[in-house]
Amino acid sequence: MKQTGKTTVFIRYALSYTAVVLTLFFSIAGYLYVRTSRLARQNLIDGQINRLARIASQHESYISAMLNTAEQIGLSPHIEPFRYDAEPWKAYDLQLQLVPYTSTSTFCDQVYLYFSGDERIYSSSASMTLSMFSRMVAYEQLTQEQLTAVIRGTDRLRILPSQQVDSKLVDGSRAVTFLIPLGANPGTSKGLLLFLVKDSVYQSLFSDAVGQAVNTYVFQDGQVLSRCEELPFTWEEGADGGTEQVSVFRRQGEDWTLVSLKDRNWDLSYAAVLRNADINAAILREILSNLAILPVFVVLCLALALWMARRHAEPILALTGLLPEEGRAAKTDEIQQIFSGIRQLTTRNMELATRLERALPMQRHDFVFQFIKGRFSSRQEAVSAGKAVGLEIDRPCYAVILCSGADSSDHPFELNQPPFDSLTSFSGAGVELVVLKAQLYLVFSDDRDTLSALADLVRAEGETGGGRCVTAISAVHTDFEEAPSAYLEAAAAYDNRFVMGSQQVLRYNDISANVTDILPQAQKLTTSISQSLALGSRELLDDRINDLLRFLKNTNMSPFAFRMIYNSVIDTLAHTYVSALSSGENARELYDIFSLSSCQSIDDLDDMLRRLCDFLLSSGEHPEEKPTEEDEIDQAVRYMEEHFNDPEISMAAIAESFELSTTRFSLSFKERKGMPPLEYLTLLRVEHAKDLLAGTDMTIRDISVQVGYYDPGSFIRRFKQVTGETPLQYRREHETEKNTVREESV
Amino acid sequence: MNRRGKFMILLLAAALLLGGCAASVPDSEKQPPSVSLTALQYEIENIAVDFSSMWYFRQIGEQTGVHVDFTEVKEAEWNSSVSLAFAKGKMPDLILRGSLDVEEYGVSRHLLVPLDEYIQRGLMPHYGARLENSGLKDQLTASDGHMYQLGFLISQDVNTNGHFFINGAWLDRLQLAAPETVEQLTEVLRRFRQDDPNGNGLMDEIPLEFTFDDNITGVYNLFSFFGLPLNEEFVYLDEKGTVCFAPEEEGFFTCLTWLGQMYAEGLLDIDFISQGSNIWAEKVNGGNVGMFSYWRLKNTALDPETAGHYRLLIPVHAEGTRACLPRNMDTVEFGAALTTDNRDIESSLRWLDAQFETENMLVSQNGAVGDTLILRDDGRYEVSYVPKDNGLYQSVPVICGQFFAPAEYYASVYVPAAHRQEKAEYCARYEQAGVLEKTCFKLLTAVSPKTTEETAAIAGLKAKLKAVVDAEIVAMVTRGVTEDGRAAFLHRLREAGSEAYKEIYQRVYDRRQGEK
Repeated sequence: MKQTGKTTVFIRYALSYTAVVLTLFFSIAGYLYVRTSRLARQNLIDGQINRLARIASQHESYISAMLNTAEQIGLSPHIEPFRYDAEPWKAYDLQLQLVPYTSTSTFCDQVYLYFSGDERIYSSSASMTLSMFSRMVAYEQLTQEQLTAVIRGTDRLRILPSQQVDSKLVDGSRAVTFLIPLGANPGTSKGLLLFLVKDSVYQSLFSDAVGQAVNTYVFQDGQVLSRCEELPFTWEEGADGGTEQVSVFRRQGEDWTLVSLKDRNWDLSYAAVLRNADINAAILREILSNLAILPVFVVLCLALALWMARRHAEPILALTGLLPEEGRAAKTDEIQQIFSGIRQLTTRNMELATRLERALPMQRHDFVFQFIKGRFSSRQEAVSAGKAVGLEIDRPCYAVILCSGADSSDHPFELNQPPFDSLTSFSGAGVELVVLKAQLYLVFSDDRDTLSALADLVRAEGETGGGRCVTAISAVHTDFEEAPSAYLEAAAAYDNRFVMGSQQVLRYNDISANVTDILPQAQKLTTSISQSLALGSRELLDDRINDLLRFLKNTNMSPFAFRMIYNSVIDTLAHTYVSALSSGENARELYDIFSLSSCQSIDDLDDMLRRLCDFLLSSGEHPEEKPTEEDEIDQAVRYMEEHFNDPEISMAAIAESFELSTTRFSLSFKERKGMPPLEYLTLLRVEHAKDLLAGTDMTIRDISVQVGYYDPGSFIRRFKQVTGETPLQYRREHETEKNTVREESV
Repeated sequence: MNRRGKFMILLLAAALLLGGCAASVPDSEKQPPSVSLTALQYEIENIAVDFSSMWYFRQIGEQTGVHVDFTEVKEAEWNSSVSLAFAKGKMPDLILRGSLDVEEYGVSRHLLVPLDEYIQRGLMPHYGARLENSGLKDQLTASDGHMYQLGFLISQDVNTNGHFFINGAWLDRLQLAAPETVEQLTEVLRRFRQDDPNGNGLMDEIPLEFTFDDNITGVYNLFSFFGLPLNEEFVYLDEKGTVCFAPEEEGFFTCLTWLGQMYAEGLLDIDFISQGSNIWAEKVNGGNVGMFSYWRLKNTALDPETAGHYRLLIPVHAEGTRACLPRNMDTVEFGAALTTDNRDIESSLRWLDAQFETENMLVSQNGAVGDTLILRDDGRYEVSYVPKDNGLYQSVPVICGQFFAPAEYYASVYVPAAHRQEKAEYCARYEQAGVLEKTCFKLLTAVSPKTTEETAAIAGLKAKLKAVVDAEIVAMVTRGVTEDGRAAFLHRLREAGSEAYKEIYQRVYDRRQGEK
């Protein structure tokens, strides 16, 4: 069934394109046929006209030469009529005079001079009586008497048509005879010249037609002077080709075309007769030679049509294949199936859009909580997620607003409706925060004032019903990673409602002065905890957490400050050990900002931190640790832990011992342990030094040697780089702590 | 098997196949011509044949192993083609028939190969032997003593061009004897004119019918009645070996005086001054002519019935003189020459000499033995028939081939046709009657070698002298001979260079005699 459908659509396209191609082909071929046949016929006719013009030009140049000769002889003072009987010697002189006039002609076979009224005729080699001449030059179509009468009676140019002249003077042959009066004034001529031009001269004029299917004629006054007939067609004397240069006539059961040049000098005309069948055959040959390329064109076009058919059929078949089986009606074509499929998809999309629109508040709810919990790994990811729920959050600043409604069932305000739409350049959404019985608004804006104004509007709107509305707003943040902090800030400000009341919007910035002082100090403790995690020492970790607890308790901070510090610590750990957090649902719960904000005591926070650290330690997930070259790196770690107090230990030696390059070893180590091997070694030495500083009375110099430094100066610099304080400061500080603990225990 | 191996097998198979084919060719076809030469070949005007593929030359090629590619040139273009061939520097190996100025191209420009040494070395056995016995070597020797050409000769032992014929029927009808003197002849001619020998009642008989300026049908022959052998070159040798210019001789004027008398009496057709041989023949065939001169009677322009009325007339003589007709002699024409561009002289001579072998030579002229040529029991060859319309030229070169047959040799190998025998008989009778000049004028005009300058000078002077002589003949015949006219004529002759003309010929003759 599928194969049938594939074939059907391909054949349908192939037939369609083929039909188009063939239509184009036949249109072009038809046009070319008409045009080529017209041109070919015209070329054929033009060729014959040119040929006739050439023949006429050559023929008339012959006649001009003969006329010129006759004129010169007529004007020559040396050639005058005489009586042969009385002056026979003049015949001898005359022969000598005639030689130059008659010896140069290439077309004229014989020339004779006749003086008017004379009985003799002369040539350059002989003279004879007219009667003897008529006897010796026997014309096929003239008797001796007629020839004599013609010679005597001619007073203007006269041309006797080609006929057999059985001359005994020279070889007999067919010849055209020209009788041309002497001199420039034929009427008063003293005689004439008789030129015998062999018909072979005419045949050589026509020679380009030998072998061609064409008859050629030269006429004078409708009389054929000479002809070359290659076709089975004989020109009938007296026939008239009409006045047209080209005319078609029918004779002997066939159609003929007459091409003629008329009204030339001396009433001459020239004609060529062609058989129409031959013309048509020539045209066909011309067309075939010109259109021979068309079959190739057709094949190429058909190939193109098939290629296009296949190209267009394939996506249709692919689209059809995407349709569910039930959507493919066997009897309908693929296009209709696709149409119906698209209609179904459109309907479904509309349904989905409707459902999506209905689910939008929920999705925004999820987005807000995800954003607040800092679940987006990048700003771009957060922006994309915001777009997905219709929020344009890619704005310079944002803040978190908490608002308590008069009724816990109140839904958050729609921020795109009045009165909020009076503000521009912001985007945000609100969710119901059941834990706090409040509403949380996450708002983004192009400027800080808009955020502040939004908080005022939220409070004003909350009090619209006449009830009291507590509204708190975090500080304005730009970095999306600070979202949990922003929430904590809003929550801290919200918690301050008991002190500040609800007369105005509670702003975090008003209560945050002491927190900003504490955070840098807590940073050191965070670093210590992080380093302990890196070293994987639970005991060391407990000590550091205890240090943190002691620090918090000694500074008498508010729960909010604790939360901020804890958030900072946990946030640091979370970003360092992101893979561990992302792999376990428990870890997420440990880092849930809302859980953190609900902690009401240091112990609650401490418990949360220890559970997180335990999880990280127990999961064995050290920073970006990879199984690659596990054995070598583990062995190197073990080696460094056992030999950290050796001042001679070098990374190059360790790498070489494990057959690794220094660079490769350094990169692999960093991938596994999250820090370069040298830093790891420094950390080992500093941690050991801390124990010695806090637990012994060894001098700084001895401790430096004990942990692998020859030079105490180097040890002090490294220690300060790692802990932020000198070894002496560290010892003093721990001595104070020990004393305090001792006093407390006392 | 790899591709190379397959190719070798195919090559071997092809070689075996070709070897097998070669083995099946007859021996006669196994040796195709190995030498290829080029030739400029003279061709007469009214034939058109391909000499390169002509049967005769294919046979010669097979016999000699030499193939010749011919370039045929018609008579009208021959001289210009020869000049062009020598001028453009790329000459053919051979030049065959036609004419060739060996003095110019051989002696002066050294473009022809001297052949005498090769002939002496025996490279042309057939031709060489025949030449040695012919006594014609002089004619073929150039002014520098070398032979640059092979001769063409068909000797028919013809000593006279024109013989006189008188209407025997009229003589018989009028009961007249054949005249022996000019006076008797004059009387006979008057009777022919006056006594209506044709019996039609009209005085339409033409006693003397001639053309003008030749020794066959022309009035030139009539001067012999007065002891003057007038020929177309106007020069002859007297018994002392002195060159004479005939128009200056006394007999010239005596004859013109007689001819003027004949014209005045209506006994000479005055059309002689302007009629050609065709008109002459038409008149003779008209049956009203009493006397004329001609080559012979049979197989000519005369129809047989007319010819049957005439009989040979021994030339008459004027009182105190002896009739003297110009003598004819065998003159060797140009047959062949080798240019200095010739690539293989020995092969060329071998190819040429094969054509002089008796049977080959007669075949080249008359066609194949057994077809148009018959070998008689006496060992001589005879023509059986002559194909119409120059059909012989389709297979053999005829007049355009190589032929060298001195009279004695020719008579020993060939039986001439009847009309040639007739001519020979007439010649014998004239010889017997002693009416021919002693020394043939052609010894001067054709045989004695001339330098190029001498040839050119002779040609130029002759044209001028001929114009003067012919005009004077016409004038004196039609208007009579006067002393003033005679003196003026002699003056014009001298002005035209008659003395120089004689001197050149005398020098040429003396040189030849000296070398001899």
